[in-house]
Amino acid sequence: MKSTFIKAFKEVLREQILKKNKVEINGFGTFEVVHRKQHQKTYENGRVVMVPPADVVEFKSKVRRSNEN
Amino acid sequence: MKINRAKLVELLVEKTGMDADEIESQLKQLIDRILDAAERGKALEVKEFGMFYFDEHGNLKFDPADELSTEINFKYAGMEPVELKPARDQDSETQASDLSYEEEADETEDEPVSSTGSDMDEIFGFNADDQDLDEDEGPIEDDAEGPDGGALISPPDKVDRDIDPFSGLLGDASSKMKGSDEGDKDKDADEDDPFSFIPEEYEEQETEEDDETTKDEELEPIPGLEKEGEDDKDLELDPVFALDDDVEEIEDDDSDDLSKIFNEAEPEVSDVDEKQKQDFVAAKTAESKRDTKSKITDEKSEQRDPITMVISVGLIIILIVVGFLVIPSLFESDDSGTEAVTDPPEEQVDQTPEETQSVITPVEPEQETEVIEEEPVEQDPEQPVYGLMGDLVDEANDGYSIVLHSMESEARARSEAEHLASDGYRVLVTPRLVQGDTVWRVSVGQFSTISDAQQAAAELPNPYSSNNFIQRIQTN
Repeated sequence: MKSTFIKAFKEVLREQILKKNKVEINGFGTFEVVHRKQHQKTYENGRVVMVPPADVVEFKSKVRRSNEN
Repeated sequence: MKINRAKLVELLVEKTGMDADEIESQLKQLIDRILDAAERGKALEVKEFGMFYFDEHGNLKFDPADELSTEINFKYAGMEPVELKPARDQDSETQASDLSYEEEADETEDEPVSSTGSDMDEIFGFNADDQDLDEDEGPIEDDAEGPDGGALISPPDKVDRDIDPFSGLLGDASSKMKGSDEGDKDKDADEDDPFSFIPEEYEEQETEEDDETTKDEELEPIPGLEKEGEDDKDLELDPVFALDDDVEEIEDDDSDDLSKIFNEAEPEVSDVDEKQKQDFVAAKTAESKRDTKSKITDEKSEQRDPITMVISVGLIIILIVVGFLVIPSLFESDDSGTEAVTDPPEEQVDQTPEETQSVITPVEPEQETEVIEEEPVEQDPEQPVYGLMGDLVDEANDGYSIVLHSMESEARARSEAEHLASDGYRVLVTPRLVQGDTVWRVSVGQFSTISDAQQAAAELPNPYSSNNFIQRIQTN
């Protein structure tokens, strides 16, 4: 595998994800950006934290492990 | 817009200049390698992109790298979780309301509330009543928000506890005489010890007096029922209040005692100082030390009065003994001082050039990790690759930058950039598409890691130090 390819692959995916494009690679999975709203998170010890909104990368794949061990 | 595999290959061809077949085979290799590693129970990390692995259910998962996450999340860069309520065992009173929590947070030192708390609330547009709770946390929430949590402290109890200690103080006049009597005893005792520091004695005395007072009046809540934290607070506060209330009284009643103490104590203290100074000099010239001592004693003996002769002789003996005790400590402090001088000051380590990417990073403890490497970045020996000031370095464009301006007009962004560049900063002007509109972001510095950038951002001059965010550098 060429390093230039790896580098280009990362850059292209980064750019496309950033443009909110969904990148679908057959036989592998899809990358897309999803938005997480701000929300309160309550811990067991009573601590409550306001989690800020965020955009996160989500990867979905139908590939499953073939040999479960 | 959806990018499928064909489109992706097209984009990659555009980027690399390789032909489509080669890209296709490379892509296949990459995917095969990722899946192969995952099948073997390993996580494969593509540097600065993310990590692929099978989770416990056998599903292929992807954890984006920090670099990617930061870049994707550029809109909300700099936002951090804000603690609304602390953990229950730390401070259980905060169940009452958010307002009371705010006050508590200011008072208690242990509270790990971030200084940006109020700002962040505004940014989030947070509404305390709007309990938009995480569904995943359902059972836990029920436990925490439930009535039993709130009932830990009933409001009347709290009020009583807040008021009682102070009401006890207000009504302390009757016991003041007693207290001052006690104080007299204390002072008598103090006179035996000429080196005691007077103000401390007064505080101690007041604390004792105060304890006495509250016991007498029987207004204190039973200590066993109190929360520990509150108990501590009361103990901290009481002496202060007591001092404020009783200062006048003490001065009226005990002015004689005070003057006695001061009259006696002050000359002694100054004697000690003088002695210490002279001893300090003597310590430097170890041999002439004894001579100095004898001189001092001569001086003392000249001042002798037939009346106070016996007392002064006693004092001189004490002072000499103390002087001997002080000398070793003087030597120690002197030594440490010279050591501190001779030790070269710790130099600020220059920003280390970027690590060559041959490091295999263990990412998950249970999984081995393979890292796909890239060629190492070339380094400029004269100017560090990354930094805040200087000229832009192309190799550093894989790093992070501190955004200071974001403008719709390119011309204005450029003029701001020139302004910053004339101050010596590395300035980048990059267009970004934000919600359909192009904005021009003016950013300074090139940093290899987010934390480096954050550190540099904190040291920027006003108003930039507080008004900025970090973004991944993109030059396309």
